[in-house]
Amino acid sequence: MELRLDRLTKQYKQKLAVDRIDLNLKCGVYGLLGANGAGKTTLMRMLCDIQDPTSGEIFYNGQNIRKMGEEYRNILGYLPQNFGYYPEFTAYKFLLYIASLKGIGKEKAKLRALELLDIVGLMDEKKRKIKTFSGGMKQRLGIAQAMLNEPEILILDEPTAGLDPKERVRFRNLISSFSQNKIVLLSTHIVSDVEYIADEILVMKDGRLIHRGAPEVITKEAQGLVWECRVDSKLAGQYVEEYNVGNLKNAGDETILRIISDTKPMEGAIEAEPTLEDLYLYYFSEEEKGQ
Amino acid sequence: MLNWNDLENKKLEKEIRMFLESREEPVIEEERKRQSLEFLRLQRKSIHITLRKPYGQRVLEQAAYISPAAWVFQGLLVLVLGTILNTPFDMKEIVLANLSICAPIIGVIGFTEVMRSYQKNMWELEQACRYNLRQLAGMRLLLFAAADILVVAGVMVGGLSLGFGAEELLLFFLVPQLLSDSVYLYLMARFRRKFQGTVLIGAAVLMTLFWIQISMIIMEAPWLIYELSRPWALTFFIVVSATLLTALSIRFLHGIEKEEEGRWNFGWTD
Amino acid sequence: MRRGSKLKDSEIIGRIKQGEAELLDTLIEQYYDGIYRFCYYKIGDREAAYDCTQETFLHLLRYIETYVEQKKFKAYLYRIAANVCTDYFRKNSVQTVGEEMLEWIPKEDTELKRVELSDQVLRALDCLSLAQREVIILHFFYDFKLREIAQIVDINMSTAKSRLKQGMDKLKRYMRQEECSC
Repeated sequence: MELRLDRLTKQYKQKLAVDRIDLNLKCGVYGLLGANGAGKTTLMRMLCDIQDPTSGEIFYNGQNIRKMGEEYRNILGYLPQNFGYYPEFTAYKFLLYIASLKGIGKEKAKLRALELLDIVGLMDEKKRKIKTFSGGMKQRLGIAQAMLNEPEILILDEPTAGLDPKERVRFRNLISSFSQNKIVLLSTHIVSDVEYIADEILVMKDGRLIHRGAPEVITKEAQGLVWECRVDSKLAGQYVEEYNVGNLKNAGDETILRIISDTKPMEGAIEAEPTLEDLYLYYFSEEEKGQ
Repeated sequence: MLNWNDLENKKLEKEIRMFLESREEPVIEEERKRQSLEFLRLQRKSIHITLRKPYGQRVLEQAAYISPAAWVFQGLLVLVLGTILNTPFDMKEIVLANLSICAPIIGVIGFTEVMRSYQKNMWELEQACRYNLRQLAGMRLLLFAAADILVVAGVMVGGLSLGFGAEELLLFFLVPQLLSDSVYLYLMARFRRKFQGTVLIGAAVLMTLFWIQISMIIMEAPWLIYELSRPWALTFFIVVSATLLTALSIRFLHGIEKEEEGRWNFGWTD
Repeated sequence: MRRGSKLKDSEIIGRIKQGEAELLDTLIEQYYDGIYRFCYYKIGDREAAYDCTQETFLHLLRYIETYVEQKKFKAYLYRIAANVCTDYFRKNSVQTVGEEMLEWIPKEDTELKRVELSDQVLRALDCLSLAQREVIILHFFYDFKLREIAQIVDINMSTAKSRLKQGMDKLKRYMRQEECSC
């Protein structure tokens, strides 16, 4: 099974959201990393056939997904970044509704809905109206609806937003067990979510795919760029302004700073082993600072 | 750029073709082939080809997901219309005028329901499903069209039994309804994602006022009713308004397919 | 051989999608020999060819629901076969190359320990790289046009043209008993 993106581009009047992306996806979990505005959501929308590209094509097993239409959406599962709900729906009814739109037969829909409610831990809430749900519960429901039709391709946009740590772990396990023989693409800011479950990381910046590889491999990119320094706690604030600081740790009078820099930032700085988060900060520090 | 001489090219091809055709085709062992085909047949048996459900069935299924509020309002509307028809008035013109005034309100219920996908921010999820947003909107329109046809039929039957003429009922109820619905569809196509319920209600109010105005004019000139309900005039009005409605419905549905360029500038979507 | 008129591929696919799944058996039987030979010529190993043929059809069965282009079925099927064979090479040739390298650099000229091919033609094919061999086979053995070949192998037309030319040049040299870079 293969999903191929061929010079995919999306141009809005003011902005080039996706810039000639060439990508070949086979079975496995892909983590799409990028700051806000990098074009991740636009890319995902095009993959879900919700939006037409300005130019370029997407092929599923050699067939153009636009020509496939319904048949393509049939094997797709999508969780948008922000989704609403019909207020009077209960969790169970919501899943049945989505199932009907996905063309799943009534009997099977009921089974699948209950199965998924159980998996995401919403079984006890199934008769409750969605408007009473917390953010995390809504998110879990969203994940459940994406998996109703046992999709071949699962596209999740910021799926872990609003989930507490326990729910995050549960989510990671769910994806890992699901991803056998499937393509899973998830976009996130939260690096730790993909670090362990992604087979491959895709780094996107300003609409372009700037880097791609297994997490361990691309983390090495940041080798020699991460430093640990001890500074006077009183001056810590200054350093944060001046440098790209990934982490601050208080140690009494001193503060340990984890700085990402091309060159040794100061005397006494020790090189540290890079993590995926460091790499993210290396690429996206300007965007993040602007937030 | 291929730098071949065309003749040499053809000659070479022929040579190669002859050479390659001298190959021996590998012998395929019948037993192995048979076993393989048998195995594949077994695998094939466990495949299930999901067929598309017939359209009618799908539409009925969707009826279950229409909000209960919509049905409640629809019911109320029927009551109101029944009341209007049955209220004793000196002049039947007043009853007819009241029917016209109600005509825009009928559309509000159905179209609000259709636009719920956008208002409640469900459109993105629905668009990515097998039966996507365009089909869904089409199904909802169909459901409410059916409901409205029943309402019109009910008014016709009720009106006829109370002594009103068929032409009058058609002129004062059906035509305004078709025209109002056309206006709604135009607005829905125009605004779509930015759609607010207030747009429909605002339009309903305006149109209601418009029909009140028309009604007042007509009531001053009862001969106008007679003229307008002549067969040719009536047919003309009905055909024009029905065509307009159909055209705008198609335009609305057609526009749902994929979002247009440059209308996606939400801060959080990128 | 069947008596009477043979159904066209597009008709068979149409009926399969309407629910007549049994027709898949007919389709598979029809294409079995052709696919087997293609795999054999591409890989050079009889045993592996049986495996790849079966794998090709299993793949077809698995994704039949998403197949929509009813008119180009033959090219679609051969595309699956080409990919299956390529995957077979990846799994069975070089052991030490890391996974990520395989991802970026297509290993076209992978060595492969194979059963000796006695046929002279097969020895000639042996001179070609995997990529060239594929194009030559599809063009000369199966009469696929360049456009279809490009679709099957998933390359663009100019790449297909150049691979064909290079393949033909090498064959020409082999046939003239000239040097062959085997």
